[in-house]
Amino acid sequence: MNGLKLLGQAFSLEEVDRCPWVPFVGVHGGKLINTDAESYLKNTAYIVDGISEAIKLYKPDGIPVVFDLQVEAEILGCKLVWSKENPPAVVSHPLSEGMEISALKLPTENDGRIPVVLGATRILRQKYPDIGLYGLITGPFTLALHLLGTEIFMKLFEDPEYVEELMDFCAEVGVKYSEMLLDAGCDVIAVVDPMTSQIDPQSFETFVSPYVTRIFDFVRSKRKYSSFFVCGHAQQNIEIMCDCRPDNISIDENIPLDFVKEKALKKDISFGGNLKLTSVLLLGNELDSKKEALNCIDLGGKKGFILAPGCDLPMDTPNGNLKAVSELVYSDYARKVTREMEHTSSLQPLSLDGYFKKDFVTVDIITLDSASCAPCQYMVEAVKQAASGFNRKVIVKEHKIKDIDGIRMMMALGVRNVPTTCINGKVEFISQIPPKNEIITAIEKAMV
Amino acid sequence: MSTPIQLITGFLGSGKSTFLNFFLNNCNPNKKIAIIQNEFSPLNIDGKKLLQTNKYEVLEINNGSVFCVCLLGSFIESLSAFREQVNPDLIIMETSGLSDTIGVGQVFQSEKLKGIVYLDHVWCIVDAQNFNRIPSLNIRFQHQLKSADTIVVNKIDLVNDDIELIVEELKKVNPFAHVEKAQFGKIDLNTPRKALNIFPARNEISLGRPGLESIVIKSSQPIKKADLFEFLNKYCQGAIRCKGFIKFKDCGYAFIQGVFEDMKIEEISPFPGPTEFILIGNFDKEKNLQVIFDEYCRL
Repeated sequence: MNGLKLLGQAFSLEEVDRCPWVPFVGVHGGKLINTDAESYLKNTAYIVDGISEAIKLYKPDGIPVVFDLQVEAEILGCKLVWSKENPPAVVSHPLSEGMEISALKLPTENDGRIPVVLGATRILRQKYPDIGLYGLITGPFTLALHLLGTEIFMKLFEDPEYVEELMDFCAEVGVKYSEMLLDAGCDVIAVVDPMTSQIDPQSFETFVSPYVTRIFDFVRSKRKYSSFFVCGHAQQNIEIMCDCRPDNISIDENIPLDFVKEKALKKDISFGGNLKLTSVLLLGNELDSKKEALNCIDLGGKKGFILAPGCDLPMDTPNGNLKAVSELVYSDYARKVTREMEHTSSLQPLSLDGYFKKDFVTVDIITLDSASCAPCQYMVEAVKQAASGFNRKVIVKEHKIKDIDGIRMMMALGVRNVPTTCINGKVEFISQIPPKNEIITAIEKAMV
Repeated sequence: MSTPIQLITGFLGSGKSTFLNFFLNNCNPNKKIAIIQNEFSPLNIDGKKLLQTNKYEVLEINNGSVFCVCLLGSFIESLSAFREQVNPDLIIMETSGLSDTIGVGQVFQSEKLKGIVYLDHVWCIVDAQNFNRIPSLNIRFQHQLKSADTIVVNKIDLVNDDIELIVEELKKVNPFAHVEKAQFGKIDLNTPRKALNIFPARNEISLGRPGLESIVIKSSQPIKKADLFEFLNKYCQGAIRCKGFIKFKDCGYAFIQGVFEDMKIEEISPFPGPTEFILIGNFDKEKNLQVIFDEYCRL
């Protein structure tokens, strides 16, 4: 099944065989092609190359074309400061410097970096017809904050009419930019409004709901999908976010996924996100990432859930961690292995002192369990056959990660995937079952 | 030596820069203080001037007016290089009122910063006059208060109300924070002098200590009380301090504070936020305590 269809099923709340996976690759795409964030976000070809590389590595069902919440703000007169590792930052707010709302003009296809984004969208559309392309727009409240600065919070209660006028304009910008992105080939419009997490439900209903609803209704009228992204402490607003009628809501690690699931499904809306960005995807290892993804998949279930990070992936997110998530999504086997590794972070590796014997070659095979897992069984059989010709000079041991000592051995040998074969403590064959002669050659090498 | 980092949080206009000014002027002149400043934060003019004197080393970061924790990836590199180059006794970071207060502490667990810097203290500056003036920000405000070690109720000269009533309100949100009353950001230094050795005092001991780390644990999933204690006993024996709030599976929400022989737990009313607590101490550097904590939550 193609990714776009699978996403469609999730958006439509149909049961799926596996959950769709949407890594939010923003400037991380630049990292994948060794380009800094600024050059990346200003260049159509770089974006196409970065996203193509991400698609090759992470096998996503959907992917954002660009993750940059400053595109519209820049056009509307906010000054940006560029960074080599992050999306740019807004550092001036025209409405707080004397500009009138009436002086703001709706963006056109030729303004600012919109041509860069639309150009990349068109090329990626042609190149990847089966992958869901997400067009990201700045949510109206976040855009209003860019335009006015933090003064907006005071104005919510001192001058609500002014805020309503501003939100009305920002919603129009959202509709206009959504239309451009959809016409260029996007399948999903993601309204990214992180700053709404700052306000309470009552203010949300007054100052956010009517405006974002207008954008979602527009996307629906174009027969495309919409998603409402929020990050931060936004648990209080989840129900009213659903009432704005997006097709999907996407949240970060601050909100319990099971809570979002319950609220969203009750209102017939799909949901996603939640993968921990900093502590796991950025700073953790591959196994941590798999455990985190498995937990999300288990909580999310098979109806309406889209696996995604909580927000834009930091540029330096190790690609091994994202490939690990991808492996988990596609492989039932990887899920089984990860389940066995649950509650093992605390274990200490086994000591290998005196483990290897002089004049013998020791072959260790780390498996899930060769009695019940086919790839493990074939690997163990292949190694045993290869070893049989060495006249008992080769010791073959299977370590099942179903046992705690198996896991501790896995840690001691530095093994990260199952099944893996090590010869004299060195990782030789990962996951794949090698031909007999390759195993023999490796053993012979170890005998010298 | 691991370098302590102190955060100054508080909403716009609460007097963060004035407090920072007071803080710096009263710090021990023999200590080398460095500042992490958001280049484009709406710091007032005095604050900017202060930082322009060559007295303090400044690390400028440019996350714009909206400081998002998602953008902290590159911060690891710059902080690590800055700390190595400057080698300060203390780093002070003023955070935007909109930022996720202690989320920033998560990056101190990266390989490059672990045991090099730690999150030592969170100051939350509250404008006594306006602290509950923007009801729409109430939830955000509560999060800030909950993360604070010391709450500074500033501008008390501008309010007619009984200041104790305000303190009582704040205590309801965070019963464990130390509360100081201030005019123009000036606090009584007696208490912090005891708690923090950054102000001139008679019996000085040096700041920081080798390999000290701070670990920020965050989880949207609740944990059983018994599992929390097992987690703390098994993996956090090296902690010299633990503080934060916990979402329990079996008994609602609570504040925890202390060290493990002496852990205070106080139930608080439910709030829509995740478990967030900080551990300061020396821990097994090979372990990702966040991942282990997550596993306990899943039990």
